[in-house]
Amino acid sequence: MNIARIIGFIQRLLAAVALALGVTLAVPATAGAPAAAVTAAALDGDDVIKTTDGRTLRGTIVREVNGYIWIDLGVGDPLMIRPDEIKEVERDAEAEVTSDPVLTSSNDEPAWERREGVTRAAVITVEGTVGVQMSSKPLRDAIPVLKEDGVDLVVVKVNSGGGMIIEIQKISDVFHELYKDDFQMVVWVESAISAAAMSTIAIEELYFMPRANFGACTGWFGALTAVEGRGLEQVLYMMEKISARGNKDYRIMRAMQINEELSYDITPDGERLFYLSNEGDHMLNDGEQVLTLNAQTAEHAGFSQGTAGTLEELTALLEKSVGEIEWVGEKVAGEPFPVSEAEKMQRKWREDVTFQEQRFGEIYSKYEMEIGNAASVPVENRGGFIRQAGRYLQIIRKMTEDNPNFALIRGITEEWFIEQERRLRELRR
Amino acid sequence: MPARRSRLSPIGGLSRCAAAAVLAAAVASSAAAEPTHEILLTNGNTVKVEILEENGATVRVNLYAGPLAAERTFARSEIITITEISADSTDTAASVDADATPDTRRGTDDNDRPADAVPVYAFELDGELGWDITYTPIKDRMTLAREAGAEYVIIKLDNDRRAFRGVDEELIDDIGTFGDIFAARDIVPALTSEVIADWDEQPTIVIWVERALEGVAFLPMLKKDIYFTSDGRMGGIGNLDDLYGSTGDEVVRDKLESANRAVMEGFAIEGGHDPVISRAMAMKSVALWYRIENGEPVFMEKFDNAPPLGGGWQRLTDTGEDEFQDTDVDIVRLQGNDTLSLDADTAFKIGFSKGTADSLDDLLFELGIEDRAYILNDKDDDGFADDAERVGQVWGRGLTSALRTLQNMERDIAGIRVPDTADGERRQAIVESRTIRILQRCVQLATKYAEVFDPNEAYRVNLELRIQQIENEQRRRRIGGGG
Repeated sequence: MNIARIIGFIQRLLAAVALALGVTLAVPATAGAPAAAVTAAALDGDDVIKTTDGRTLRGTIVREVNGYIWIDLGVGDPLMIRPDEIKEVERDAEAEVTSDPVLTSSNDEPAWERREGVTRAAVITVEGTVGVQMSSKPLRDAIPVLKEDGVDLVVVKVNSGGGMIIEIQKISDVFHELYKDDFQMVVWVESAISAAAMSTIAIEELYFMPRANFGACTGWFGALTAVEGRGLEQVLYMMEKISARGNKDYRIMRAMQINEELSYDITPDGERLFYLSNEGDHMLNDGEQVLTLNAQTAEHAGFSQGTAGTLEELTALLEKSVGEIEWVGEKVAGEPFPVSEAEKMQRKWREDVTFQEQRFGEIYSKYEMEIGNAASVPVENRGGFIRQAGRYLQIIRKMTEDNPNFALIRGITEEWFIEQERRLRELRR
Repeated sequence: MPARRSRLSPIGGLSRCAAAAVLAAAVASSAAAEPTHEILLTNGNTVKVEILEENGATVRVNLYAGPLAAERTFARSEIITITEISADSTDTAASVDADATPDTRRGTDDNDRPADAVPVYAFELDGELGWDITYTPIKDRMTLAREAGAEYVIIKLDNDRRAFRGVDEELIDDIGTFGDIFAARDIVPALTSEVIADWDEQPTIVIWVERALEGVAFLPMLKKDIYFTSDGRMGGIGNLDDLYGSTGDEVVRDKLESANRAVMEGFAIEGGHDPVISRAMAMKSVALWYRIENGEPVFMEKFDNAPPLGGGWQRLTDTGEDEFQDTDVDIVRLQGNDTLSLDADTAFKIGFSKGTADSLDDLLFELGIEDRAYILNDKDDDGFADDAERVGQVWGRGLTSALRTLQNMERDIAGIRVPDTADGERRQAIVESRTIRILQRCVQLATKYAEVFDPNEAYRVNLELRIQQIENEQRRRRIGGGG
């Protein structure tokens, strides 16, 4: 270990002590350099790894393989962190990484070249619960990345069983007001139930996978209680407008929301005329059920432009209208389509919020446990418990900041945080 | 015409002595060998090894420490990367391996395999859905099939409850609940999208039905190539119409039934079948008829029990109302028709199955590859890949053992014994540390088998909290706090 390392280690050690004592220490930085105030939060030259369990590790990243990172904390052997443990990596250290880095640094030159007459297309996936994993935020965040990759055509592959009504308009807005300005849009349906169908119907061009489904959009809450009255009318009206965005007859969505008859005729020029009655030649809903389309009914009713089970089949269908397609992204084992940077963002988002969703109960319980422990010992002995409780509270705050819908679901408000801070203050007295 | 079983490998005829001699030679060779690869493990260690055997789940190696070597098996999940040490040493290893390939039928057979041989990998899914028949062991078997180079994957379905409950009972066809579709749906990627993504050349996946009852009945629908045994049965899915009973508002029940119906129809469409078959299998309200027109089955879906107009219609199901309700006599004999339950004859007549085969030989004949089929990894000559059988056995044993450990957890904690010589504080520390060890072991098991025991992680979280509480107690005592 060289001198700089040793000094770095001492700095980190002192900083950790400072943090534990709640004070700032002044120590000489390096020999010959002016003395500087050092805290754990401000150590120049450190790499920082934030882990999914809330730890912040500072040191020097010395090795990376397939997403695994080894960080030298200045004492003992480098610590290995698995990809699923890594929440965020901030790089600052000058030390060289000894194996092929997974994350390559970007440069100004695009890594791709536009070929004349070739459409650059990317698949991005929207999955999970609408308003949690399937959210407008990562979709909005992906737009500049898609532009950087020179994408012309975005395929939104949807696989979701629905979720929160309040997110429908937001997702629809992102697609209609932002994406459509810059990209040709296509939905590739694996499963779009309820809010997932209501969000993606804003896009005109839909293709179904063979086992796809799209519909079942009845709003409900609690023990299967239907949304009724004005609330129902609001959602019906919202969906009339969103259906219009996607050039879809509003009657289709209406039959997906409530028990309405729906039938259609096919005109000689192939146009579909829909009726909220049984007067059409082809019945889609008998009025006693709620409509969900499958691949066959969707294609026959002209709701989908075709059925494609694989990327090759989808490419063949799309190339009829856009010509040759070049898919953006890298081949990843186990994935049926190339994974672009924008798609990586969607996956990262889902991983993070899923983790938060799964771990909230655990973290909240641990938080309350630490509060209880602190209360059970004399004031002078509470420091460790209060600090630990504070850490859990920070994690909860981060969860709610990352995804405001998460706070909404859990009933966590700013007032709640203020109350918790008050509890912690009380315990210190 | 009797089918011929095609066995191109001579190794099945090796005597036990010969096999032992080959094995001994292999051990000697490996002792003289050099490490050929470096394995980077998830615990951060790098080890030098010689790879002896690989499959989708594990890598068996000789682990080197200086001149010494010992055999060890790593789970794939423990491994980050495997890197060849150098070209030279690889060449050496290759020659060693070539001399010492006694126990992989594939390795020996490959040399003799004719150019037009069709590699076939067969395995059986027996036991219970959600226990033996679940995503991970199916995915592992499909991985083994891919690694073995299969062009055909034959999956025999023969589900029952005996393996789990120790009761020798046949499934009867009206006891399934439609909710099993969720367990079946979890398996779908292993047989569809992951195959598309992982296999360079798409295999032909053949479903061979002996018993595909309750939720398992959804699985054959995913594929075109379906065959039944003569006494094969498929059905007993349960009644979607009743899934939500009278809970909540009718329109919400309609919504949920609609979504589930579309999921189920999607299974059939994926496999190229008429979705009306899946509806009749899961909805008593559907009365299904068929007749043959121009050699093809034509279906008529009705919602009452009156026969359709015109002649030649054969009833497949009725609506189960009034006098049409299945009796116990029908049900226990697998002859009810309130919902559709297929036997070999009906499945073939309506074009759902392509034929009937009672043995693997028959099936290969039906597939038209009986003279070219090359059965992969089947040294015990039972028709099914040995490594696939091991996957099932290991999974089943692991689950049973894990269940026992989890069930006995409280008893084990209560039964922790401490030496009488230890004083009070020491005794408490020992009890706590052993309790934590037991809880941690249970956390490991709950995580490993989460798809069966703990899909929502609630159990694991509970255990983690118990561990934390003990650790908190210890901290509190250390700093001298009161209760």
